[in-house]
Amino acid sequence: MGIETEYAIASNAQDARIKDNPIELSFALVRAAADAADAAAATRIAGSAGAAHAPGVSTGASATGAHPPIRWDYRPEDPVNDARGYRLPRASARPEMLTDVPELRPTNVVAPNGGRIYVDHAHPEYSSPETMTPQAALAADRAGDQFMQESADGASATLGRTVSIYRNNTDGKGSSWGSHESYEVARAVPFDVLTRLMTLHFVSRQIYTGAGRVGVGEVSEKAGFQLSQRADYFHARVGLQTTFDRPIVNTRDESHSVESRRRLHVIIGDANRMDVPEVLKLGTTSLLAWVAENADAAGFDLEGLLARYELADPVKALHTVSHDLSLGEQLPLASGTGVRGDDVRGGDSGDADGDGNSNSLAATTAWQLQIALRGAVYAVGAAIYDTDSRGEPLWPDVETRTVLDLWGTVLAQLAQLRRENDDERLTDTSAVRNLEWLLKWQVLEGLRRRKNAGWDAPVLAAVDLSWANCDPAKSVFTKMASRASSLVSAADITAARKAPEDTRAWLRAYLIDAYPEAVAAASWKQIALRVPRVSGAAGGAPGGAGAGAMGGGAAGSARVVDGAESDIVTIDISDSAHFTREALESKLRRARTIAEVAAILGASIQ
Amino acid sequence: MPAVNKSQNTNANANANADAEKSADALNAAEAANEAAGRATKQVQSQEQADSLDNLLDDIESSLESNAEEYVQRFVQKGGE
Repeated sequence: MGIETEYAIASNAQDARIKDNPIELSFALVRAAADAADAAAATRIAGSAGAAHAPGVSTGASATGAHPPIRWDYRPEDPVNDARGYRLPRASARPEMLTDVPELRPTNVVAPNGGRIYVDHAHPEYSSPETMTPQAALAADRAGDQFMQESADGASATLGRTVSIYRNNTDGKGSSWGSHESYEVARAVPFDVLTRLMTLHFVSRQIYTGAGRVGVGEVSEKAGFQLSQRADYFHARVGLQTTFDRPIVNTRDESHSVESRRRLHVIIGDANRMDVPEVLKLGTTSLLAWVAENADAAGFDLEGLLARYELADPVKALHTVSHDLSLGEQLPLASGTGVRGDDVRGGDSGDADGDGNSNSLAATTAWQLQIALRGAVYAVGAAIYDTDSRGEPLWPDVETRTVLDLWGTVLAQLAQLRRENDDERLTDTSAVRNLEWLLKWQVLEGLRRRKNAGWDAPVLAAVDLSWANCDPAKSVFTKMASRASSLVSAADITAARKAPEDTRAWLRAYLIDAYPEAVAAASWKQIALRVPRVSGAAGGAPGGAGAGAMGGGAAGSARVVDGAESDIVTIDISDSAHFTREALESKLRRARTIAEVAAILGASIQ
Repeated sequence: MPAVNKSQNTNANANANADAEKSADALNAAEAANEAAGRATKQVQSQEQADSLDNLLDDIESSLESNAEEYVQRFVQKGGE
């Protein structure tokens, strides 16, 4: 899995004549990131005479650092491929949907941890490297905040004014930008099942993933506070687009993976400053994708659950949940009252609203939906992994157990919160550790009472913005951080400035680190290496080494492009769980030439 | 995450629905315990909490941009994604 964060960007230009252009500021930031990456590569190339990383490797590049910069390669990307089984003709796509058209300025840099830093429309964006757990994705995302703040500092030095970046999703004036999650899901799961399941989840998970927002409506036309930054900008149930008429379930099917796995591209999430909402967002969504993959094998009636809880109007329900601080608003169900009592037992508590009537299920709440979805995870878990003496599924890893414990704790806290009035919520010390919207609300409500102000007071909007500022010296969130649970330490984040060792991101970062002069370009699925010609025609790679080195035959074919002195060899790294440190490091360290490296990785020159 | 389906339980069907209920029951119990524990310490905590929140609000107020209205007005972005 992975997470992409678009940041808001602004400067402190005092001169009224200087009007911020977010595109220019974004380019300045990515230019700073590119300069840092190029300087690091030049240092390593200069140092490789002393054989720090790549003993004896000669690629024909000079050792002075004068080499072409390593850039992200757009070619393998495919933003118009729709998960519902067809492609959007490029001619009918809006220009901003064509995210794979290369640009002339340095807009794309490979981050030191194998992630990607780039300009996306009018925002600087960081994509985390591929990770195996929500906790690893969180650490990689926080490391990204550091890279981006450092690059913002670089841009500030260049421009002579302070460039600030913000981890939020709206300016409250009609514009919204994204914090996208990506999950690999077996293609065998019908996309329709995934769509219906994730619709229920995305509508209801806001109660614990929301980062909180001052203002209601796309241009904050109504004063107030709501749970989510993003909800008001979504108007469709399902679709390919991400920049207009946004859909709850996005169908972009750029798998960045092997044929048997698709990418579930989630565009509806808030950018979180707090750890618990982010880990829950990633963990619960990943677990539900796993439910979709395993329900049949577990004998779990997923179809029944989806039919029982199908929402009458998911878009309206999305807005209702986000606007409802009482946490109890009823969401009408498509089935109306047509559900028999004996069918209602199962994931929900049957009579959660306490009216003694569990026979009809005309409506539900976000909390009840979450109970039902969590129930499905436990049911499938118990069937697949069996249970201990307390009936708890024997989950195979601690990361999964942690997510499930947190999920239960947070839902219990939300049930408690539902009964509390504003005075009680202001003095809450437990739920605020886990709920970002509540922690933000405490600050806003506290200030609002002090100033005897309404929700339209500019100072409240200013707090909402400052909350998201990534500069710790200026961030309101940083001042409140001691009240929030932390799931990653400073050391974890420092470690995540390097690539995860258990995914293909390790190889991407390793090659850039050890062979900066030989990496022509990198992307999610491919790495292009410059392999010097030994003699005459194409003869870089020793014959016969081939794909066998990967053990699973995961590596694929190579493409060769003629160059003046070297061939460009493309390594196929589609399988994100291969190309790990454990699988490859000892082999790669024995390689004496870049041609041998290419051969170990399964590339061979045709 | 349990990414792989490791074994298949033959009693899966029966277990599946029972476990879904068990999970809701366990959560209700946890919720009740949470609530009881919460009440016991609440009075003491809420005074301390109010004091420390006040301190934090002082700090936040003094750190905010002097002209909140202008700061908010200047913050105009374009759409992304």
